Amino acid sequence: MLRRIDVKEVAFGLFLIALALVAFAATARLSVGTAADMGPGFVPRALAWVILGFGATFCVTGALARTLKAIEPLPAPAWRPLIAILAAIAVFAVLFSTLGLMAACVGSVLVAGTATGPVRWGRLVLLGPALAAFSALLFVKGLGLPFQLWPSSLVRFWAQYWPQIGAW
Amino acid sequence: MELFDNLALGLATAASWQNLLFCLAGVLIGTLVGVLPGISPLTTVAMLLPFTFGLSPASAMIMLAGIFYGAQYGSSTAAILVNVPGETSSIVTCIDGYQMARQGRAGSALAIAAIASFFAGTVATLAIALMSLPLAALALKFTAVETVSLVILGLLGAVVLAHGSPAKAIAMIIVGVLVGLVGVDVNSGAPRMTFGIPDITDGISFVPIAIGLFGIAEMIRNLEQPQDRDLPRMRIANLLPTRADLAAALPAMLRGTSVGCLLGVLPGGGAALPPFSAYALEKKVAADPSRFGKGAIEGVAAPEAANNAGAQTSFVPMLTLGLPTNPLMALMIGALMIQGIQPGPQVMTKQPDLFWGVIASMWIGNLMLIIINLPLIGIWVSLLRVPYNLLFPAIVVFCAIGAYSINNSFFDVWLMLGFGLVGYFFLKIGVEPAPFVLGFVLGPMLEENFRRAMLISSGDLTVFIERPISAVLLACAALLLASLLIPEVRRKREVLQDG
Repeated sequence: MLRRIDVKEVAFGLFLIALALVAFAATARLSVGTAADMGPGFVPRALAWVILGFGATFCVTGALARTLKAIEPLPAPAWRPLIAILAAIAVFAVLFSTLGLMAACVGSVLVAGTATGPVRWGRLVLLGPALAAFSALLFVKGLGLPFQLWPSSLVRFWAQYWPQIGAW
Repeated sequence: MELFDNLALGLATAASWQNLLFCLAGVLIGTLVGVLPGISPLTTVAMLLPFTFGLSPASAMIMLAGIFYGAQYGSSTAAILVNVPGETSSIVTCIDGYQMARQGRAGSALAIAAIASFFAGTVATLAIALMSLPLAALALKFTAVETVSLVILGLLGAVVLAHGSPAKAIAMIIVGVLVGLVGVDVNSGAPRMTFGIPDITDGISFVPIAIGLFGIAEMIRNLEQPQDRDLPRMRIANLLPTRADLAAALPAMLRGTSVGCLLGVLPGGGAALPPFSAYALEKKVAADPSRFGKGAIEGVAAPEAANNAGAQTSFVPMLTLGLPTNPLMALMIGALMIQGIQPGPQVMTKQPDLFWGVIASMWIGNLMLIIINLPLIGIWVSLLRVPYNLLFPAIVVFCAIGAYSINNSFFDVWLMLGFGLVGYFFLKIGVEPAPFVLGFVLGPMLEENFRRAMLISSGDLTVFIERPISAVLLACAALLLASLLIPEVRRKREVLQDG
């Protein structure tokens, strides 16, 4: 009989163990103190031990899982939406910090739109600017948030040659 | 009559034109996301959290609360008309509601659902007002010791009633507490687990975590499934229920409301438990259980009453004790903290207008839902035709803007990305992210009070069982844990999860 391993449970166990190790490393230099007078490291390290214990337990129980209940293999991630959505967020962060909100909206929508199905570029090209305009009106004009909308070079250019727009 | 004074103060707060406006905005946004599958109220609240910063605390809470119960309302509309539950809260409504619609009784089903929700909302408002005073009076007696026991009880309760493996949920809570401790230690001033990153010396901000775990991760999972939404065209005639329908629905509403009020207060109940339990109860008390599943009006009235009552009473532990019983309440706590209000029993005494205003606004919001939404049903249904392909890029952008705006920090956007990835991993391995969020929110409070309690008792753990209130709370927690070992309870949990 094939020996079955509950991959999901083992994966969670390994995740917990890794997390506990990171916590140990991060709190290595903090003083632990005593129970009556705890140092900053006391509670985090205690929690890390518990997490380590849980992680080890899940690894063992997962590896020994021999129930008749069908154990599914670790489900493969859906790479396309995963990468597209995360990339869209990354694009948003990079474009927003360099070129401003308008470019970030347009770029992010284009990347996110590739996440599923046949990509409808026509719709996305329209959706991006529409969303950018909506966000600018709602967040900057409406809620008064101090966002950079346009690339600073463009703003300087406008200020110089087309003051009406620069003022907006 | 202190009760009526309080409710009057609440009504006065909630009825200011500003708060009425935010209440309306909340219930409309809520109905919208409720109708649309794929956007949960959790995501919506997480996304809008940063923008409540500029509002007064009462307005912020009123609007966010409106999103919560508005979403349940919208969700049942979608459930009845197109057999697509917008949220988990109305999965049961699909069963008989959609059957009624197919028999041409859509109008009656919608009206009964709306009336049941409003009725339950009214009763729940009164129930909250009655429950809150003694609870808060009790909570004011709490020292650090009792607070620790209370938080432990709340967290364990959330585990027992939540979905999935209890052991994994407990592990997730502890992970949440640990992550919640990142940042400068209040007692010693030493930075903890910050890896020298200046953006997290004050702790990891809650908003990017919430949006990442709930918004981004869920969106990626939604996109895995093929996007098809076949909408049958249903004509809605006659939005008035017949006298017979009303007569049959009324006792069911009463039973559903009581079930909802009780289960809503319990930790971890979430949105799914009250309607499921109410439906099961209706089947049990019905003279002819075989009618259920074929368009029984009680099968719509009871779950709808239960989910609305549950939604409202779940605010009680959050507002009176500062104890979130589900992830959405954890977000509400986050909203209060953004406003600079430390949630806990003192909210009620120091900010009575906030407390009673939110409660009264729920009743007003329910009234708005019933008046505004029945005529608007056509519009909501046509919104179901908006393709998800156009919706989700917009959600990505709004999530990113939301994460950024809370501190005007790009680090938070990257943090959201990271937690989106982690959240997706959790979904894939079948681990619920909700306990993590509860642990994260309560972690700092738990540690601070635990250290204080240990200081008082000079390191003696028995202090937790020597004090009577604390001992009772811990005994309840132990009972909850022990109940997991009873086979009956185990089976019930599994049945609920499969349903």
